[in-house]
Amino acid sequence: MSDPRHYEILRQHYPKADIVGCSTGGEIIGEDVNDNTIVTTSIQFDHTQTKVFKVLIKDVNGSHGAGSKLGSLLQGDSLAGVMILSDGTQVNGTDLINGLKETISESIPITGGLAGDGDQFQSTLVAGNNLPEAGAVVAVGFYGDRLQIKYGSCGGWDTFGPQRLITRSEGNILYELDGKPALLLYKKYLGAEAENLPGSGLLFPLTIYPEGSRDKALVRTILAVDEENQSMTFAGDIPQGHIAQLMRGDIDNLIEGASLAATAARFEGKNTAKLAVLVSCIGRKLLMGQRIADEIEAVKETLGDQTKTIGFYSYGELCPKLSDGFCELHNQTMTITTLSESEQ
Amino acid sequence: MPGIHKMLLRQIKKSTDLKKKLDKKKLYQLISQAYEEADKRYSLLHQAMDLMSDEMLELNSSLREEALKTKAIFQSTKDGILSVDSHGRIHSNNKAARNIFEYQDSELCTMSLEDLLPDFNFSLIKSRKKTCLEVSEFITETKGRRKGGEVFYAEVHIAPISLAEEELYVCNIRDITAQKEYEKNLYNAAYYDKLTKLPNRALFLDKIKEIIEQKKRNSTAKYALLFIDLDKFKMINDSLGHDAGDELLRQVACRLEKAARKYDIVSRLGGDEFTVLISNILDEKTAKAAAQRFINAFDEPFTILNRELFITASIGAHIISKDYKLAEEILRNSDLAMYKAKNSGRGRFEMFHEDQLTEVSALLHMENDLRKAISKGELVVFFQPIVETQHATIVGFESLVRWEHPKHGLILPDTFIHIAEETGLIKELGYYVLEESCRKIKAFQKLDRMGKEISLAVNISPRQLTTQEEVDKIINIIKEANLPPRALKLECTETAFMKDSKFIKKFFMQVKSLGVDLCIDDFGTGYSALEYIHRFPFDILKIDRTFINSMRENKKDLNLVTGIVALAHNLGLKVVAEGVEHIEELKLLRIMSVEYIQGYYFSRPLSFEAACSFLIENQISVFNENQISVTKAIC
Repeated sequence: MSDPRHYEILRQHYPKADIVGCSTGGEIIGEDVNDNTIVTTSIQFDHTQTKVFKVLIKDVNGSHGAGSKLGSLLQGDSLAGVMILSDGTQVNGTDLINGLKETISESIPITGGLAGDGDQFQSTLVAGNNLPEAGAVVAVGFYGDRLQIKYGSCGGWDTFGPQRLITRSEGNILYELDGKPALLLYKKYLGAEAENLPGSGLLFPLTIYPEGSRDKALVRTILAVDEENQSMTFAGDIPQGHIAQLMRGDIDNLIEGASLAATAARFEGKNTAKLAVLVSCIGRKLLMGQRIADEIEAVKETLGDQTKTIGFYSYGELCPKLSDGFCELHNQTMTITTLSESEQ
Repeated sequence: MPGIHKMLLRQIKKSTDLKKKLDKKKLYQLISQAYEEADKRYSLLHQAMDLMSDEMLELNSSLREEALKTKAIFQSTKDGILSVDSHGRIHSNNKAARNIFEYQDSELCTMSLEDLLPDFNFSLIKSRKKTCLEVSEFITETKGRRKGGEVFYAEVHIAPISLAEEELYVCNIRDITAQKEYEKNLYNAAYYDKLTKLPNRALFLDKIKEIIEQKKRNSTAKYALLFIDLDKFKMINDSLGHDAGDELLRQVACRLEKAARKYDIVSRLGGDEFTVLISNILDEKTAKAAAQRFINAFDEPFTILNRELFITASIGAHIISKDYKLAEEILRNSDLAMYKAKNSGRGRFEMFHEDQLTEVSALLHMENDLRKAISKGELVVFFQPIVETQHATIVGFESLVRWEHPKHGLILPDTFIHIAEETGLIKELGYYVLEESCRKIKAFQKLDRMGKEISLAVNISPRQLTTQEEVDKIINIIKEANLPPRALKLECTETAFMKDSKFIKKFFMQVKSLGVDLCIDDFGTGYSALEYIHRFPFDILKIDRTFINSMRENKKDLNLVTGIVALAHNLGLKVVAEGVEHIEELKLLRIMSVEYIQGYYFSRPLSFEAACSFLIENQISVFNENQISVTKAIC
């Protein structure tokens, strides 16, 4: 991705098109999941207009401002949907979404994901009508009343072990659970895999929820660890006082989760989506290994042959919650956005 | 390829190039990698489950410890705690609950809340919980029932606890019987009179306030208020002591309660003041009948310290109208009516009328005027002749103060002396009368050509004898007047020397040493305690006018006067009969050998000038001796 020639080739082939893309933790095309490849799809709308905006951020503190700025750039009467491709290591996804929600109506679906870097968590790149670069957040705005857009997001992870109180955290940095260093707990559970942190931390995602409100649970994955401070940085906020619980993945349940996400994103009746953009979590891929293709297969089976699929393994997924339609940062999920245009 | 795992199919696909040539090495690598991935997953899971198990065991152990601690706290708390299900059935209980209700654990577990708290409506709590999500707890006071049937006051605090599978309520129960008793005592102390156990002023005012509120709501119920004040109660306290006074108040309270009907409320405002709230009054007539009933309650004598005492009460009656806004106003107006009754002769009742307010207003003005009257010289001393009975010669005068009011004309002491006493002006007034009398004695004596030593009798109020300073001032006035012996007589009522007998006796001895005679005034109306007459150095006894006025028609009173005269003479005292208005009275008194008489029969109180003229005109005798003889013959 870092090689500028890839982008230039694409631009030569599609001189007028909006070109957006990002580095990944694995690429999805059709039913296949590949590593170290580039997958592309071209989308042509008959009626829908697109606009691409890009904002660069210097560090994680710029996340909210970036969201807010993109939101104001995207605003327009006929805005029908937004897809975000964001840097995956320098952004607090929760802040980014909160910034976006300040200016964009809650009725406009915002989906997308955070770029990946294999399982390295070093540096990610995002392109938006320009060469891919680090620290970029790109938003594609879809305008027009013919666009049909649906979405679904599901994890399928199982909680296990005791409930733990988040006793010390700041923003998306977690220090202590039940008064003990969180990093220590992770290392204990990961055993030999601990040396592969932060990537291996994805094998045990963390679910968090306010005490007594399990229905508001969110899943968080690790972006980085800080040995010196014994802290862990997550892709979204870890509020102090919330309850945290470790999660583990059962392959069948993860596949079932992907299938449920596809069911939610599936168009109803005879209408079928032309394209499904799949953003799945790198953590799923790390755990499932070669069996990761099973979840893509499950999605394909649910959506049907008519719907083309493209996507990537990410460091965080963006999608509205099905319960209230408010966009949230998700982790460890399969998140699917389906697109089509109505004939009338 | 049927029967082949789909992952293997994918591996084969990934190992096959575009020319459909299978790269076996790549295939084996993929298969090997898949095995390794599976092993890693298994190992990770296994390790995680082990760790989780350890953590859970540790957690379980600490929870068990925590549960033991909680149980110990649960069992050691002073309050009874029960957990009940949604039907009120008891699930668990603590030691305090068993102690409170006196049941064993095994018994409680088969019981429900209503067995222990029979009046408690548990379903109400449940319905509240359903209708109001915010209701998290409920506190009430109800009755608890112990195993033996004993009923006690319980404070019950109920809070629902949300558990995953069952709905439970925690009931905190406290035996508040002692607290209730304490509160009751506090309430009684605040709202009931300790001495008589009757409602006190505060509670009575509360009741009146309730009635005012009722009236506001257009209630047609009529009420009357009786304001009852014992007549001359102070005399009982002063003469027989406070214990006797208290006993009398207790007995009066009983009498009043007996006279009250079922819904009437008798209360003690304080001192000797009682009130009765009469309900179901139809009109003024029924209010008057009620007031008379309470007057009649004093017909029989009270037995205090083995003595029979006849006590009367004055009652102010008032029908409560809807115009009142303040309870205090109603009380004040009833009090006014009571004063009216007192001023009208005591032992009777008066209904409140608006014009009494005007009278009070006038009275207030009078108080202000009286303060100025002394300095303005509006107080004038009048003199009523005192006549020697046998020879009918004037032997002296009684000094009686009058007030020449610039607006209201001449005002008699009955109207203003009690104001002077209440406001303390009596002291200044007393000094003035004494000084003025001392000055006039010499003038009278100069006029008397018969050589008799004309004397003046001056009244001394008990209120003038409360401090040494006051007593000294009186003595100084007498000393400075430098009067001949027997020229001045001081008249005191019994109440003066019943309060602090040593102090008063000393005063009496001092004035006696200055040649002043002492006269016991209004004898017969007080307690006429022989002990005092004997102990104090009296020279003269003055029989109260009420006996003199009634002795002609009332044989008992005649006997009484005869007895008093005999008693006085036996004790070496001379007797003055005051209020002599008829010749028949004079004749009777002469027969009894009463030494001196005084009254309208001879003369009203006269101004100094008039008194002088009267003295000159009647140098020899005040009356025609023939008239007496005739009457004497009839007698």
